[in-house]
Amino acid sequence: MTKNLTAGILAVVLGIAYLIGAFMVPVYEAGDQIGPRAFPFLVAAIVIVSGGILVAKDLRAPERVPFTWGFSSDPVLWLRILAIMVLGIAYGLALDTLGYLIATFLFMVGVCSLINARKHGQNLLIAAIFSLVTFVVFAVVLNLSLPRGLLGDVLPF
Amino acid sequence: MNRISRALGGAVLATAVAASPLAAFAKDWEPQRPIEIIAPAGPGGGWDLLARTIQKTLTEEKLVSRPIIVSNKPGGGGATGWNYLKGKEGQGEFLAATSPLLIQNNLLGKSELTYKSFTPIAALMTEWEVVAVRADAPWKDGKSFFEALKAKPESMHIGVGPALGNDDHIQFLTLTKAFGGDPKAVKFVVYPATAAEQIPALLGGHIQAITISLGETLEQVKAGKLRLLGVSSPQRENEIPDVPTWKEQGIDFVFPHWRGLIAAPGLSAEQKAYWDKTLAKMVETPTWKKALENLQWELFYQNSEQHAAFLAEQTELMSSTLKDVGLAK
Amino acid sequence: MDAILHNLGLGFEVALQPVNLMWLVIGGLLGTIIGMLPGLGPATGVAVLIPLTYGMNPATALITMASVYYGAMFGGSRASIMINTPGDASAIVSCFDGYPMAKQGRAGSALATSAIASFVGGIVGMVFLIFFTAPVAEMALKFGPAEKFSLMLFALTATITLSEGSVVKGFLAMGFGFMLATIGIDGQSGAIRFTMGIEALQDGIDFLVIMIGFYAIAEVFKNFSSLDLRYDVDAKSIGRVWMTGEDFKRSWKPILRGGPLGFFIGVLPGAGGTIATFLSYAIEKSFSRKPEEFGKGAVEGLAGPESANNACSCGALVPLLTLGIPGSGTAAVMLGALMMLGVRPGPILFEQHPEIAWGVIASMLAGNIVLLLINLPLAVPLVQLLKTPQRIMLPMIVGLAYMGTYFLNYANFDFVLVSVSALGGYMLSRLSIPIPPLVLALILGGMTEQAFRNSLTIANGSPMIFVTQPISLAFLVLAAISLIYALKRHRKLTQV
Repeated sequence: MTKNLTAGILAVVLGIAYLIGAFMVPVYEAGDQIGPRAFPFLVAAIVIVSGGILVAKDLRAPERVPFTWGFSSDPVLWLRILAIMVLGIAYGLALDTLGYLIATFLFMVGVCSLINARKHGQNLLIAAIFSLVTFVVFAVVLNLSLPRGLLGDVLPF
Repeated sequence: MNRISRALGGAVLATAVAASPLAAFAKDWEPQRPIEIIAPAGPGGGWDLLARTIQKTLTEEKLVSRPIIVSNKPGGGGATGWNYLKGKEGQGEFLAATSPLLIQNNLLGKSELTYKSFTPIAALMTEWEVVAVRADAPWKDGKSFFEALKAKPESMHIGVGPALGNDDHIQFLTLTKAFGGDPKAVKFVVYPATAAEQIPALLGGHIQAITISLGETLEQVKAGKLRLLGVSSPQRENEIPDVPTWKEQGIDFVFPHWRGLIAAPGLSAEQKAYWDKTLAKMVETPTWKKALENLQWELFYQNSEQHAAFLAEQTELMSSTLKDVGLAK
Repeated sequence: MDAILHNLGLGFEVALQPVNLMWLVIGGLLGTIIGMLPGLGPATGVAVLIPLTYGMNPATALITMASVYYGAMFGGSRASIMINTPGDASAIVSCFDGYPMAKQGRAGSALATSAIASFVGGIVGMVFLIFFTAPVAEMALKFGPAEKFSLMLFALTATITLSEGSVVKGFLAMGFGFMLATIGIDGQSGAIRFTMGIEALQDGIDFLVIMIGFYAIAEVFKNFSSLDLRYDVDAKSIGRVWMTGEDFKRSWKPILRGGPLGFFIGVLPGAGGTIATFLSYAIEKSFSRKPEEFGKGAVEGLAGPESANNACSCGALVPLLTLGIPGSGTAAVMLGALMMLGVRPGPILFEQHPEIAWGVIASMLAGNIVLLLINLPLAVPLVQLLKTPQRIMLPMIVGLAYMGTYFLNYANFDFVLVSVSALGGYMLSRLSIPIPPLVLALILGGMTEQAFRNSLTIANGSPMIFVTQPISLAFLVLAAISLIYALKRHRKLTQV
């Protein structure tokens, strides 16, 4: 596999999936004459054709540089990325129940430990300062609405 | 500063309530925590302005004992904010701004929510709808315009925004039908940015007419750039004494573009009574009247009971119009 | 001419009243700070500070809001340069070369260039606003959907042909951007498209969420592989906060070109800062003798768009002041606030309340100077922040990115979107697929489709409308030329 071959195949697959999605878009009687499908059809065509050109050109290219994602050669990188994504999604889910302060603190502790491993004291401090300062700036000074969650009745401001 | 004094006010009241445990058992309900008014849209739009005007009036006129927070929850044509409200069952401290879109989104199949998912609280203000053409256009009234439309629908493009199926669109469909045309034949051009795109498009001659709320056109009308063919109010409006109502033009059509408040589902009679009492007082205050005048809104007050009945009646009306053109099933 | 100068004099009388001058400085400072915070652009900045203006007279209120708006524009590119996190759409282009400059230890120079370019752009924009408002507003009305569609097509083509890598990959990236843009309820027909049954997607994807994922977080991912190498930015090489002679020589022309370009695009209804900055970037790259340096820290690629962006914000005031219709999201917020104060901007504002209209114009001229004076010294402590070790800086960037995401819409689902787009952005860059065409297509996708469909509706289905309208035809020809030019250049490169 080369970069262009990977990109081209990815594009063709995504383009076809998108095209199938476009056929599933409901068309209403009223509205405009062009309809909600025309533009997506055009977009699917652009993606599939450019993906196809990439594949065709790559197969005829004289010199082909191999490309790998590095899942096996650099697993730590991908595990870190996965961990950040999982933490981020969990942060979003926990925000309303735990409240901004607690959820942000926990999230930051997680992110810091991933990147700045083994320095627990420093990480706890960064997480605490980050969540408190941002809360004060946004919720108190700028009066934006942030979920208060568990601390709802305890917070003095 | 403001915040601190509000918080202090809240604290003082909390102590007062705690000091007299009987108050909790009294028949009247009072908010027990900060009041949250949800604007189910970003800052700057009609819902946001309404929520902030209510916040300002209730606070400045000291009609409520708790601080008021306005929270913007845009998304899903209001659905995000309204769904948030729906989760607050039985809590009378949460209110959300609403408009006919609550009805229309459901009829158009965009949302499961109807007014029945909530406790209707009040209608508060309205704007009226107009049809506007360029000042140099050949049509002087509704009749001549809609007859031209009937004769050659493909040469008449009508600007509407932000999406089909809203009040502006429904007004035009109803008028087309009432003047004897075919609503399905009308060529609508949709402008998601509403007046910001509709008015330049009309002034630039790219479309022939727009269907829109009155306030958006007033400055252009005063400057002599636009002409209004009719207005959906019951009587002529003060700012535009020369523009006849649709009623005067022989069409039985009075159509408010109102906004109001809903609360979470399952509010008790006491909670409803509290808001009926508070909002009835609010709409009589000078702060509220001045704000409406500045925003060029008209008072359109209905209490919770009247508003519930009104919502049922409006749902019927819109459902039949949208079914006629195939937008609703 | 005399009338204009007389009015401007009247305006300065209002603008230089002590109370107005004071609010100008306060507003500018607050705006700059808010603009620097990720996720908070000019529109939110003005919105959260509206309560400040309660009780002010309308002229003071408008001056305060305008200075917040301006301050946020100045501040917006700070975050782009420092941590690769754009605060709003028009600050995206500042990431392209500003962030590489900062990484090379030229943050001071980048911040100074951006402040000075913004200042000049703002002044050029104001001068145009003062002298050309009436004729330009008239001309902008001629701009219909066909013209708009062709302009966007030109902006997209220019971005594709000038980005790194092959033209085919550029088209691919554009296609991906359009795909993302079509997710959600279709405004025209109300049909729900590509949401895969997820209700949170019905309103479409906020491109700023994708931006934060693509730029800020994906950048952190890229640094992961070098984390264990104990690599930190060399504290000594950060540099002083001023433009070097070389920077100045390379950027004065881009700055002067960016101003007028930004202003005219700002006037067009709904076009806005994104097109202005991307087009300015494309133009500077094609004028440059060293196009290969773009994206790797070319100062022209920062200076031109910064100037265009601020001039564009002046242009966006033309429809607000002349027609009473907001040309941008921020202008919409300002309009709402003014209405609460009982002033309605519009064609008769200049006649009825010349002191307000001209007072604001004069204060914006003064505001540009104030903001330059705020922003240059402010860069000094900012640059110091870059000395923070990477192991502490990266978690902070992740934290600010997620927090900024939340402030965009207060939507919990956006946390999923931003995480997935960070992964997507990282994978695309590993595949050498250029990001700018994707980003631009994502931002303009909705407008492009709308202009396409509105044009065809107005022409009763005939696509000839795009070539029979002269302005539209001109843009299409420009698009074709830039495409042919790029293909030729590409062939030359591959033959060598």
